[in-house]
Amino acid sequence: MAPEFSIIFLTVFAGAGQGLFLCIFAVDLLGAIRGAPLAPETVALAMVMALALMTVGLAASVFHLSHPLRGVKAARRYKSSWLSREALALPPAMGLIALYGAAAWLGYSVDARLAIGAAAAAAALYLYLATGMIYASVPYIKEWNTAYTPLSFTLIGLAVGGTGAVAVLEISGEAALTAVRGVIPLMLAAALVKWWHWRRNARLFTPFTPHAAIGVMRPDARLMDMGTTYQHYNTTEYDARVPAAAVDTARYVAVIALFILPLALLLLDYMPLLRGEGGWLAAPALLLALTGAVAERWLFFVEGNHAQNLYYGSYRGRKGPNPLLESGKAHAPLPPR
Amino acid sequence: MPQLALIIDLNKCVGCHACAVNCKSWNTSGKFGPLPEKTPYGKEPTGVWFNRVQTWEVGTYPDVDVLYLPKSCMHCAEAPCVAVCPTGASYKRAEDGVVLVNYDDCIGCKYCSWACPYGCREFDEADGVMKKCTLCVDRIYDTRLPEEERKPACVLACPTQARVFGDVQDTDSAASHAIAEGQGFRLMPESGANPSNRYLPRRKVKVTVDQEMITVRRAAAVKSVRKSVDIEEAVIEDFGF
Ligand code: SF4
Ligand code: SF4
Ligand code: SF4
Repeated sequence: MAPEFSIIFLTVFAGAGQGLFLCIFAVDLLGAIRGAPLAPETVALAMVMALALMTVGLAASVFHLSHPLRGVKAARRYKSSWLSREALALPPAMGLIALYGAAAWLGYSVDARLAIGAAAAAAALYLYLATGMIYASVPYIKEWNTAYTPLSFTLIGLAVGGTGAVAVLEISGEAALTAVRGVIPLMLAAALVKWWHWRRNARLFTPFTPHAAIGVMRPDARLMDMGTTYQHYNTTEYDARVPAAAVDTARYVAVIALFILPLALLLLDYMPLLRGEGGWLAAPALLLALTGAVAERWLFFVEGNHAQNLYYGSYRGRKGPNPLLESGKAHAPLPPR
Repeated sequence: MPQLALIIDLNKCVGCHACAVNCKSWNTSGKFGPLPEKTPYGKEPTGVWFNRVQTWEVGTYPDVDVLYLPKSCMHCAEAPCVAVCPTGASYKRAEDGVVLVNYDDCIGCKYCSWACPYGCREFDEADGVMKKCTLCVDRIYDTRLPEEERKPACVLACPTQARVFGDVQDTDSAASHAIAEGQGFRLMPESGANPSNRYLPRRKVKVTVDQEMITVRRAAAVKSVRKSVDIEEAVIEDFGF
């Protein structure tokens, strides 16, 4: 699939915003149980951050739609479409997150604020599921059609957002130790699931064959001409056409910027936090993690190999790289027998 | 439930692109507005076409044959593009099974095209909406047209009559007869979308020429090239898959 930056930014930034909220809410809840909830100003500041991240994502997604003003209609097919469910879940999630922040700012009781927070947490978690399922429910892109997709979207969102939560806590001088203790395992879990996802895709068996696609039960059929016009929507939208080197680079950037460096920075912060001193490394870790998450999401798109590519000579076979990507040609016939 | 569809005989299709050209002509000037093109006369034209005739080469040299594969929306029975459309702009009509897009509701999210296994949805960059074969709904019910012209533009254009249009659920229709007699098959059946369009496979064709035909041929040949032709019986074999 051709990587679309509007969707990449939407999933990365909205996911990070949800993660930031969820981690702050968890810290707030645990604190309240122990009798030491977060300061209202900290909660309010964190929610401004969370909403800012989600708004960046939302603004990016508007560029994906050619008719964003008709967007309200997207709530209609909630019975069968995960995209519709995401469109339905996004406004309440953002609204409840805003309410949670407002309740803190306006000095509502901790119980009232946590009740709103719990509703917002349910909405945010459902939003993760809906976003992931948009991709995971496409049966013709086998790289996406797996539980790893919603799982890694959720965990990466939580890990990146959690790093942001630590940053907010550090900036406002709150005790960030609990948050760091939570975010490090989240980061490790996200890395592990992503690694499994990549490994699965590298060994993926795809059931679609060129023979069944055109109904010729012989192995030696080659596409000579894909029919009228040089390129069109179904060739440009579905064929990433990026050099193999760029794919490798993106994977390095994803691994290093999304997982290794933020983990290292959080661990570096752990010691001073343990001694009761303030840390400051979570903010740079957040920027790195966001960059890495964009690279990871870009890779997610590029890896997607749609069954319809069988008709346009750009389907990557059951294993191995795309001959088209290697040759650098605009479009090539099916690989030789 | 009736299901209108196209049956395409791969045995008859000669790859002339007449169906694709007439489809473009009808639909770009018809009720559903223009189908834009980018640099149509340039080196690398792109544009919206509802029907594309692909050329495939089958076999190993010197035993190669060419297969022409006209491809347009299959009007799938379990149309996956319809289920995923968040706005309901994509819908399947209950009365005839035609899958359509309501351009006024489409937000251009392109999600439907991800769900189409056949690569048959075409995004119109100019209008910002998804388009695709309409099965010529603006022709097939138009009572102002003479009865024999109430057919899709592609069917009318085909010089070899390789395209049959009709209700595949009605066992008595010409379409169902064509499927039954020609062993019609579906493209990529493992997609699970249950496409309604069917293709009639290439067959091994054996034409036995009888003595009378040879005599006539020989006379004509002798007359034209003034050379005797020693044909007793000829068997013309076409390549079948
Ligand atoms: S061929 Fe594609 S666009 Fe047409 S009905 Fe089937 S899934 Fe939808
Ligand atoms: S592009 Fe239009 S028709 Fe397709 S899913 Fe989106 S709203 Fe529906
Ligand atoms: S039925 Fe009409 S719209 Fe569909 S391919 Fe034929 S001419 Fe084009």
